[in-house]
Amino acid sequence: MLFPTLSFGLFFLLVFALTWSTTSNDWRKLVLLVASWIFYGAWDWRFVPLLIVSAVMNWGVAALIARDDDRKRRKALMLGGVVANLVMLGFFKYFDFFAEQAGSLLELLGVRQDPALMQVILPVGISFFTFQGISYAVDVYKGRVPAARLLDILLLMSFFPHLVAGPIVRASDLVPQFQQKPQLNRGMVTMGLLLIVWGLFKKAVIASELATAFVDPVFEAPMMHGRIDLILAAYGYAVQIYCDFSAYSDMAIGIAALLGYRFPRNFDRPYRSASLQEFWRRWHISLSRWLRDYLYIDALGGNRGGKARVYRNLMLTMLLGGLWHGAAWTFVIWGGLHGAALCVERWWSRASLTKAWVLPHWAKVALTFHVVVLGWIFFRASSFGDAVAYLGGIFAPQVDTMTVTPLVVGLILFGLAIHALPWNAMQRAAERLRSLPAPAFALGLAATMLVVDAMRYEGVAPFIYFRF
Amino acid sequence: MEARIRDSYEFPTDLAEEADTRGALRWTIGVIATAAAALGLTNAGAISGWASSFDPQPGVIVLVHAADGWDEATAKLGLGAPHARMHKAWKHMEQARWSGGGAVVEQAALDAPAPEQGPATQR
Repeated sequence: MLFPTLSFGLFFLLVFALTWSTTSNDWRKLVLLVASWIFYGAWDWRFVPLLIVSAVMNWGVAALIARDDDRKRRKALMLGGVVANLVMLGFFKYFDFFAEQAGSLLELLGVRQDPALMQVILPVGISFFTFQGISYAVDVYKGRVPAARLLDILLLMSFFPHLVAGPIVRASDLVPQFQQKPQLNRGMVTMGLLLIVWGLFKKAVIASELATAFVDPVFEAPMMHGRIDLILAAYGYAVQIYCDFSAYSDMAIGIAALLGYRFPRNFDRPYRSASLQEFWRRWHISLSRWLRDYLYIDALGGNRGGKARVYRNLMLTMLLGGLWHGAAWTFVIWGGLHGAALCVERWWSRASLTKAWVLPHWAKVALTFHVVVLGWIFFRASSFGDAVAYLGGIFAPQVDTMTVTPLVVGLILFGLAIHALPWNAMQRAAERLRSLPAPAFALGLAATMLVVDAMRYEGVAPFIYFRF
Repeated sequence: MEARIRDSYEFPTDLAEEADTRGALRWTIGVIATAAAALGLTNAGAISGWASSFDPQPGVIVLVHAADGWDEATAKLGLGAPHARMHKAWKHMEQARWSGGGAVVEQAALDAPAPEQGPATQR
């Protein structure tokens, strides 16, 4: 059940009506919980028990940690919880990948053995809800949040707006909201509806049109395209993945707002970043903060322990962040590229001889953007060889064809131009629109949706981040 | 360089100076119901497309008949015309190419009726 479909629209209207007609907060949460399981079950019913088991396990671990005074036992419980989450994620997401790599390694050593592939099906959203579970167990262990009720944790991990592709909302943000019956205000609703329509436009028009009309065909056969196509398809993918993923986050934030809950911002115009460090403060903010807080600082020690250790921690964090996106070497290389660029940036900013070399801001933005685009080529390519062939095609094209259309170029430019908007442009619009009478705002909204629908590509492709 | 890079969590749906929650639910219901009705009238093709996307079963056949009937009724009133015109214009833009000094249009494709679908349609 994808957000931009009538099926989801009808499902949401029913959930909206039921939740706002309940009088008790517990009944409200039960309605949301059952609705979330139905939403998740629409993909594959077999994985609903997995979601429940994961939530119950994390609730149980946190409850035991909260009850125990012994420091060593608390730590053992926390580590046990983290390992259990990672085993679950590792089995479903990485088993076949590592089995294949082991098979290749054995073959290199002269041992021929078919890898024991299990063709494990990847449950949608497992990367998101296991990270949420880990953060809850660690936060309770560190005393950042108190242990919560089972119902709250079940809902925290299952809540359908963020379930399959984030944002990764932490217990400290959402559980306190679950503990009291929410109230709507016009500003929240106006902003939520604007985010939904803006997300619909970014996904259904920009991302889908770019993908189907240009980016997918070029990435599938890079050798059949000339240099201009290859360069523009790389830019096009940068815009596509931003519009696709930020659209999901916007819609998730908007849908949660209509149900009375606040989700944190997940994207903040990432391509205006003047450094890789800034990029990661603006791109998939909930994941980059998760990696920073739980992996870089809690697990690896952060900036403590000398220069070499800091660079090692940066590289490891980004390599594992890359692997989180998928079980393929292309993602590891993507993470490694970002890690290496972050290390170079850190070294550059601290080296005294480089102080005289200060690039103008626009040049830093352009440089950062092109490093990010280079990473996207590996991220998008089916294999390392395909990515290398793609890059080879840019420098030494085999053909001179150009298939890019004026509309595609326009959409790429538009997708980049929206990064020049002020950070609170939509909030300012919502502040004006919230005072309109309901029929006037509704008709404006309907007219905008009609325009978006007329422009959208036929059908709805799944969001890119669903497979992560 | 931008003056501030925020490092604290921000909640985009928190607007300034909003405390009054009176009548907000009623206002929200009014907005959603009116917008849904307006879209149901002006984009009935989306409902029809959505209904036909299901496997044919007795219940689905009834739904498809009802959706098609609604689509025809709104089309007779000309309510679907703005969507169809905008969709046609968008298709023109999709077909435009650099060569030939302007839009190269597959006339046959453009003369065909606009596909009936909407935010709702899933294929």
